[in-house]
Amino acid sequence: MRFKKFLPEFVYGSIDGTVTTLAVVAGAMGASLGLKIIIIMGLANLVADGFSMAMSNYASLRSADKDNKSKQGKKEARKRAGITFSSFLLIGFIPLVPFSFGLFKSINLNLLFLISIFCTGLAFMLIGLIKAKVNQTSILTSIVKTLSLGALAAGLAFGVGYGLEQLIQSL
Amino acid sequence: MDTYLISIITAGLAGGVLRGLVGYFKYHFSYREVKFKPRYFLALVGISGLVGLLAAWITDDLGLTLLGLNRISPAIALIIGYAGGDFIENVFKIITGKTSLYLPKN
Repeated sequence: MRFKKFLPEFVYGSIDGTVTTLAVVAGAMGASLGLKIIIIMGLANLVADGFSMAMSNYASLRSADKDNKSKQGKKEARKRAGITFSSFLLIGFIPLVPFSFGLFKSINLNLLFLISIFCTGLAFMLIGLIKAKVNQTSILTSIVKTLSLGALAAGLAFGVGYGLEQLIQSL
Repeated sequence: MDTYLISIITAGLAGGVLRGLVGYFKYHFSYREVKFKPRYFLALVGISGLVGLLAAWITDDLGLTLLGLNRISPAIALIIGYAGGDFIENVFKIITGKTSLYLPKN
């Protein structure tokens, strides 16, 4: 399978994109921000961060491959950066999907957040599974580790957002 | 310094703390055992605080409307601090040509 050699980039971009977006969503929910702000901040962060991450991936691949000045080397690095960017955007958008539906239909924000966590949890499980295949490690351990990372990031973000909101209100 | 500015700086710094912790856990869980680098962590926290403060200052000073608001709230400064820190970290990685700024434990 041609795509197989790009799986590490897919895992790398997916984990980063999902964790980053989930943290933005959870932090914004903790700080009681509105639906539109959550979507705008989430999307802005997703695109800017995804692009800069893909660029840094490209730069590191090119600097690690200093001796290979061929077009083929550049093309390969570009492909890998492209996969990182695409997976960052595609999988990283999952935490925002339920909130996007909230733009068209009036749905309770807390319910949207719960659905978002559920969908993101499924995404983490899928990434964990692929990661186990890439690293040839235990599937269960990989899924649990990836899920734990997401839960930790979301918990931290929500806690900081909530704590800040309480602190500001008490001032 | 007025209360508004203090709350904006605090929120931006909190965004930086969040970004630093999430970044550290991400590399710790995803890739390998990594070293915690306090100097880098503190630099990121400071930059995020500055990003939050700059966004608030620009919006306030130029009379801009950002996300439908005339004035950035501390909650938004928190998210801007987080996202800004993340973005600047990636720009730094482009310049240095590194995939990760967290070093593996040896």
